[in-house]
Amino acid sequence: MYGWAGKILYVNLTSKEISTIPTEKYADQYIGGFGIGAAIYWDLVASRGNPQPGAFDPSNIVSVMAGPLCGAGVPGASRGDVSGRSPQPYPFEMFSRSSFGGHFTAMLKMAGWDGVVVQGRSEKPVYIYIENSRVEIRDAEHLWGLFGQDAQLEIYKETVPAGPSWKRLRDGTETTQPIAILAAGPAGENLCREGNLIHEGGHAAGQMGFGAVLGSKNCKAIGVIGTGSVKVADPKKLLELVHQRQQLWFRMEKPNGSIGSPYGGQPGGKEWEAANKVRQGSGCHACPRVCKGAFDTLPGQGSQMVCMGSYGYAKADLERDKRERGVAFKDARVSDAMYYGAQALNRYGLNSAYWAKDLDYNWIYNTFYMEEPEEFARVAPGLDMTTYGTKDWIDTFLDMIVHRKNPLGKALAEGWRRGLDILGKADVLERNWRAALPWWHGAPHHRDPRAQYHWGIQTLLWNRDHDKHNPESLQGMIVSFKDAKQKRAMELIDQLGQKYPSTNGTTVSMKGLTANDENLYTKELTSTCVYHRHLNQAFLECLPLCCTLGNPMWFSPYTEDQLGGFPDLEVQIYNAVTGRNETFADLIHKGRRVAYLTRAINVLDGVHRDLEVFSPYQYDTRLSKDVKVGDHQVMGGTAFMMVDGKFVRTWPNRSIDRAGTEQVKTWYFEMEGWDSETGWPTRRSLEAVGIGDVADVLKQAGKLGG
Amino acid sequence: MSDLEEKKISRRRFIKGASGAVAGAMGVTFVGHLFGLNERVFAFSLPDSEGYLLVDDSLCQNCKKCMAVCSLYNEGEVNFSLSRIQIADNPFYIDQTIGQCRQCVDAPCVEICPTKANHVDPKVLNRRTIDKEKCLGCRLCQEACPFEFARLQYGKDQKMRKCTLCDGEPQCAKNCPTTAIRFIKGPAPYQRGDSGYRVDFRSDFKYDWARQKWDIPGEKLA
Ligand code: SF4
Ligand code: SF4
Ligand code: SF4
Repeated sequence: MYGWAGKILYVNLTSKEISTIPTEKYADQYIGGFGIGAAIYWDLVASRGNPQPGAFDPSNIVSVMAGPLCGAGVPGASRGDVSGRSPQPYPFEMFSRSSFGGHFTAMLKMAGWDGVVVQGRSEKPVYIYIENSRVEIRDAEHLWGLFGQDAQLEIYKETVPAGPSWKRLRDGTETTQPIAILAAGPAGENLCREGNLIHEGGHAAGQMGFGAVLGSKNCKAIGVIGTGSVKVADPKKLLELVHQRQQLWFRMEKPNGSIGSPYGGQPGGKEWEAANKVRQGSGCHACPRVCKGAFDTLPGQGSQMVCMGSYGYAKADLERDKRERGVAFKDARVSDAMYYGAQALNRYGLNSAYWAKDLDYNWIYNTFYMEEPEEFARVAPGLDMTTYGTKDWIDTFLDMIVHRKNPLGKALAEGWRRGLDILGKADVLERNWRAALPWWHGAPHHRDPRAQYHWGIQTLLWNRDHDKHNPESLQGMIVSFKDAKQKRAMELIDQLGQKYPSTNGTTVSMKGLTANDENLYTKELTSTCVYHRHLNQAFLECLPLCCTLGNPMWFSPYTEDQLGGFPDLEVQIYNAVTGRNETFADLIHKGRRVAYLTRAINVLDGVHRDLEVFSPYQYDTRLSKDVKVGDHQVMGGTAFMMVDGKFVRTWPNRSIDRAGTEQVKTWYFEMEGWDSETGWPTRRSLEAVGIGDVADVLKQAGKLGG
Repeated sequence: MSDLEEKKISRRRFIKGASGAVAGAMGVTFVGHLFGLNERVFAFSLPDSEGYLLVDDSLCQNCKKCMAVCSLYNEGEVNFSLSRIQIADNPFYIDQTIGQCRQCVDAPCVEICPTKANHVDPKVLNRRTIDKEKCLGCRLCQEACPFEFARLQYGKDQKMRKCTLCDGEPQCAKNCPTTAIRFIKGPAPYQRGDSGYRVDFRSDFKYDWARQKWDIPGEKLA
């Protein structure tokens, strides 16, 4: 099996069973990554029928899966996919996923494993340590309570030290590489529903609370070191394709936007470097982009930080500067407290996606504290708001949540959506005209659905913030072309859409990508959303290709014909690695299968069309450039629209139409072949993707679409 | 950080001599100052390699792409333990080290090889490389290499591996996204210590604040 090690590790922490699952069983049908994670979850958990186990029930699983391209030197193709039943969605838990970058999956494959599935619950704290074929369940009593980063440093000490020297493993093989470790932080140990998993300083499987699921199993971490090979079918061809792909995306001598600097996706420059203590980039396996800069903010703690974490605390940092220097907000400057804040989230182990919108520090300070100081003092005793925005404040604040120290901490430990209920503040979702929690399941604001309606629909009908910068990156690329080049790009995308449809006939088109008011509630836009569900599953979550790297790369800034090689180049890379001979249609069909299986599991969890609505403020209040909390504008509030014959990114001034959205949902379910009354998959639709047996379980649970 | 072990380098036999005239046809002017007179072994002297890998650790972003492509090219699979170039990091201290073969002028690994498996290959740039057929797997060359971290690799087949300069087109330099590794054709870098190989490429990257753009003259790139 080229591209694969051939086996997946299964560890049961209750029985201490250590066994293997052959990768072959799943790779053909489900590609890899999340696809295999979903199929294993189906087999081990969901297919047992209802009731589904709770996220913290020992019978729930956490799987960490590699895709076929992981560790093969392919740019931006080595994310690990974590899945299982998640404690984060509201009002009920759901099967979901998260992913993280770095070097974990590459190392896992080199150790001879394609994934790790953890089930059961250990009586005492443990961690799983993998050294090539040797797997150990080790005592972690001494690691319990540590930040995820500190736990990793301890594990280095007691296994293989990191640093520039050759180390001999117990099987006699040698390596210079550090162990790759994925660890839960204090938030995960204490079952905070937004507890993340952290690899190195800042590669987080942030969303969906899998740190808490691992924590509930009394498992602190999974560490792996390997000295074997990732075998590929056609190395010569792969080398050629890999170089070609990198050239299409990124050239150091002519950087592509903000991407690619000696500072890792950060603006860089001497002044900037000095002000922000950034040292250099710190990236994932074979990635040319390196979205994460490495900072000296907290030496010896690693710090690979990127937008979400630092964006969030930047707002608090600006408030601090405004207060301390007595300047107007527009003159306020950030300090390294913003990076410290990002790092603090990663150290305590909380999902930073919830801390980069407006229902976050900003709401705590500018709304809750400012408007109701007495109530605030009652729920958050001991939190000194006169130090808001400093390094001390963020430590006190996060400690309060993670250790449930007061009513505010206790509420937020249950996650933001449940926390609002506990605090009696859920009405914020009715009256808030800003950026709060736009969706029924409490996913964090990331892009405002009133602006990026595609993002809105894709998340609405999924189990989490869909968190794919796709089609956003495609829209952004078209915007980046000017005049004649833009015209040509728009024509090209229609042609490409015709050439590469999904197997249910949905496709991408220029009309479908355009978010003008009159275009939102159309079949073309719906088709584009359905299409991207299949495409994202196959290419971004299963192969996997990292969406922050701008995948899928329909266009390139470097070519005469403007084309970026997608999808032929990616399909060729897949074939060169695996030795298969597949087409785009084969792969997207498998992506469709993964989407249907996931939908079926979520239906067992409780999903029904009637629940799938936006939060009230999305329908009732308008988004515009003036919408602010305190001095801060809404993140992700711009839309891709046609203005005066040009495709541009601009602030819309609108709210979402209820009836229009209901119509889009109906079309969406019809295009998928699902029951449009309930949104449940039908037997026919499941059979169309080759998983008819799933229909039997749905039927038994009384949840099969008719 | 350097992986140079002074103890080992002091074992080398330096006999004063002169060679390594500064080349004219470099094509890469900005590294010219790095090249100068090297102390040379007169007796038993090997012909200089005609190509070298120069690195800037501070540009390295720890993607390990160089390791992946090196082993893909030379082994046909991705195996970090067999990559001829090594990147080490402690992810918590942001300190990458690039360990590349220096294609040493007086290559101790070549000099010590009892079977001449480790030899100078005139067909490809006078590279110092291994003829697997002749290799006994005695690991003497690994011992002799003054660079603890960049030293030769030993495979399961009990044969040594060594940088091949990828038959003239080094994959590591070709694929490094930040150009932290550059392949230079020309006379040998200064051989005492490591300063000839560890150079400052970073100051080539100037951020033009007015234009909000990186200002990197293309012709400066190798
Ligand atoms: S390819 Fe370049 S940036 Fe990446 S690890 Fe190697 S030297 Fe560093
Ligand atoms: S292997 Fe070591 S001794 Fe031999 S040429 Fe390379 S750096 Fe020099
Ligand atoms: S030149 Fe080739 S063999 Fe030598 S380190 Fe670079 S990639 Fe490896």
